[in-house]
Parts: sequence; C-alpha cells; structure tokens
Amino acid sequence: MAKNLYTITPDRWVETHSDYLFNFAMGKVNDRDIAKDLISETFLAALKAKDNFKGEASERTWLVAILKRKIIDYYRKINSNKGKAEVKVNYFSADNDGDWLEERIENPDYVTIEDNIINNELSEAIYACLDKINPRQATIFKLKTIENYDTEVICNEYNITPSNLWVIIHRVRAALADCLKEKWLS
Amino acid sequence: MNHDKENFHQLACICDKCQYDEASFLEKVQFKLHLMFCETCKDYAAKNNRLTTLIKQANISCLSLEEQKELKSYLKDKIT
Ligand SMILES: [Zn+2]
Repeated sequence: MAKNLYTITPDRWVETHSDYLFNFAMGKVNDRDIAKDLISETFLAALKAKDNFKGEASERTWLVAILKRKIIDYYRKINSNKGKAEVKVNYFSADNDGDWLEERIENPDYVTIEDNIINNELSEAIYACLDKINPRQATIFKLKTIENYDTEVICNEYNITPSNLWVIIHRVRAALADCLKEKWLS
Repeated sequence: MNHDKENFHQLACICDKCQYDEASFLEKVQFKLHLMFCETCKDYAAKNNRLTTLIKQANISCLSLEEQKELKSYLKDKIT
C-alpha cells in the first residue's frame, strides 16, 4: 500500500487552497465574513493536527474534510442558539464522496436549492480546471474576472504590463474553455 | 478570412477585453468589422461569450488581494 504519498506545506496553503476552500464555504454559508472565519479556523485546526496527516489523501482533500467539519459545527451552533435543533442532512452536493451538510429544515425553496446544486457543481468544475493552471495566472484571472479588479491594480500588484495581463487572461480563458468544453460548453 | 497565429492572438485579446468591457472604442470597431468577415474569430467570440455567461452563472467566490494578505499573515503568525 502506498504510504505518505502526499506532503503538507502550510506556508503555501493560502496560495494553493484558500480560494477553493473559500468558494466551497461560500456555497454552504453564503456569507463572506463567516466563510473567511471558517477558512481561518480550518487552517488553524489543520496546523494543530498536521502531525496526524498520514499523506494518504491529498492536502486539499484533507483540508476540505476539516472545513466540512467546521461548517457542520457552525450550523450546529446556529441551530442550538436558536433553540431549534431541527436539522436535516443534505446529500445534494457537488462531489460524490459522501459530502453532506446539515441545513436548517425551514428552507424548502426547492427551485433555489436545485439552482444552487447546479451552480455548486459548475463552480467546482471551474475550480477543478483552474487547479490545472499556473496558480499565479489563475489568481490573476480570478481577481480580474470574479472580483472585477481594475487592470491597473492587478498590474501594480503583480508588476506586469496591461498587455501581459491580457495575454494571461487569454491563456486562462482558453484553458478554461478547453477544460469545460465537454460537459459545460458544448 | 485567414490570419496568422499572431494576428489571431491579438484579435482574441481584444475579444477578451470586450468581455470585461475594457476594449477601447477603436478596438471595438476594428473587432466588429473583422467579425463580419472572419468565421474563426466569430466562433471564438461566440465561445467566449458563452464562457463569460457560464462563469457568471457559477457564482464563484474568491478572496480579494487584501483578504489573501490577511489570511497569509494570520497563518504565518500561527506557524511561527
Ligand atoms: Zn479573425
């Protein structure tokens, strides 16, 4: 059996995993500050538990597992605070590895839920594609496309020219289109 | 219309800029004119529009530069 296949590098967590984890958390809690807190808590818990990391699953899988626990804890806390412990287990999630989330039952807006499932699946797919791209270029693309940063701000931050930026954007868009074409762009 | 790789790349970048509403007036006119004659770029533009729609539909979240920096310094603090 393969052992210690993966290693952990905490000093690269923000660069490599924070956007993915943040997007995942946003999909479940839909609140920027709460999602950020959950990521901080996840990193802290992961640091404390890093000696238990066996290297059998990837660092990403391991961090996501911790984040899921944090999200569940968060909903538990909300429910107990409200004095309503009514929770249900939601199996409709993007990944198929038994991902689940406790969700308050008084939200039977099925259309919205269905939309969210598709959107979660799509955002997971986009993140999976972005994972295959150079992280710096992927971050530049995300800042420009998702966070709508001014070209100038990104250029200053990364010390590149606007034409460099558009070349990067073009490369990432082309890679993304290629990666998404079969399932989402056909 | 046939164009070499470099020319296509230039036009594709204008098309990308259009997706972010950052193409200049001149670039827009130039590109629109070109689209009337070029199937390759027309195809690229159509795919590009679909990609933009798809990204919007996905409602993706990511951290801002400031948030990334905050998180980095938080983590650095905890590591040391
Ligand atoms: Zn053309």
